[in-house]
Amino acid sequence: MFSVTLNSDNTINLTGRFDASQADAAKKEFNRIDQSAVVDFSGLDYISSAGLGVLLMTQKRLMEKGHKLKLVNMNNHVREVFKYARFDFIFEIE
Amino acid sequence: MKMLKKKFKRSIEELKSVFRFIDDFTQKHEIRKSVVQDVSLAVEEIFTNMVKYNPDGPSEVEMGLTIENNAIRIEMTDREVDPFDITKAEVYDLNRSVEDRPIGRLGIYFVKNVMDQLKYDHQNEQTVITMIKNLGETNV
Repeated sequence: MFSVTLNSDNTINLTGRFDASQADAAKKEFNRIDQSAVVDFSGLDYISSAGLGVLLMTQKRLMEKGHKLKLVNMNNHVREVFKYARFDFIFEIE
Repeated sequence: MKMLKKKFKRSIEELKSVFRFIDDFTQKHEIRKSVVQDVSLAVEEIFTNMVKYNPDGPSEVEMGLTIENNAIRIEMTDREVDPFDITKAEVYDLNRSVEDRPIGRLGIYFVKNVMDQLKYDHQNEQTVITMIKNLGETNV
């Protein structure tokens, strides 16, 4: 089970497993973000390259307008995946 | 130990069944969570590549799992497919800036990083990708 929840205070909650089967649905939600936002990973168990692709695409689009995503509360596995990809240089991660 | 095998439909939606197969096997063998997560990641990347780059393949994708020499061995088999040696795939450039980073192509890089061994074999239009992950000293 995977879900993306966009909140009115410019925070986004991710829960479950962000795998390739969820990428298209997630892309639609992330495309609705048009300013800087905080993505809360506390409910996310797993992410693959498909999930990273959605986040990278969003970050690129936002940066063109001077905005960005900040990522918070990752578990160890998800944090490792970001490090493998050196995405910790592309995103602010707390 | 005899390899446990299962076939999966050529569809990204099958990932749920793929993960369930991995979870059932790894729970039975009490494999620790960090290994299970690495195995899931590598298998997802290979499975999605097989679905994406051989969409009209007439056969299902087969996965086999076994434990040998204190390691988990995973075999992914695709039939009637063109050769593509993932062990020789272009190296993903991690030093590119955010603007120049491609959205895709990270998958094979992940597989090489999280697995301890990666083998590719292609014969008679059949590709077998073998991945080995060491279980470590404490398998809890």
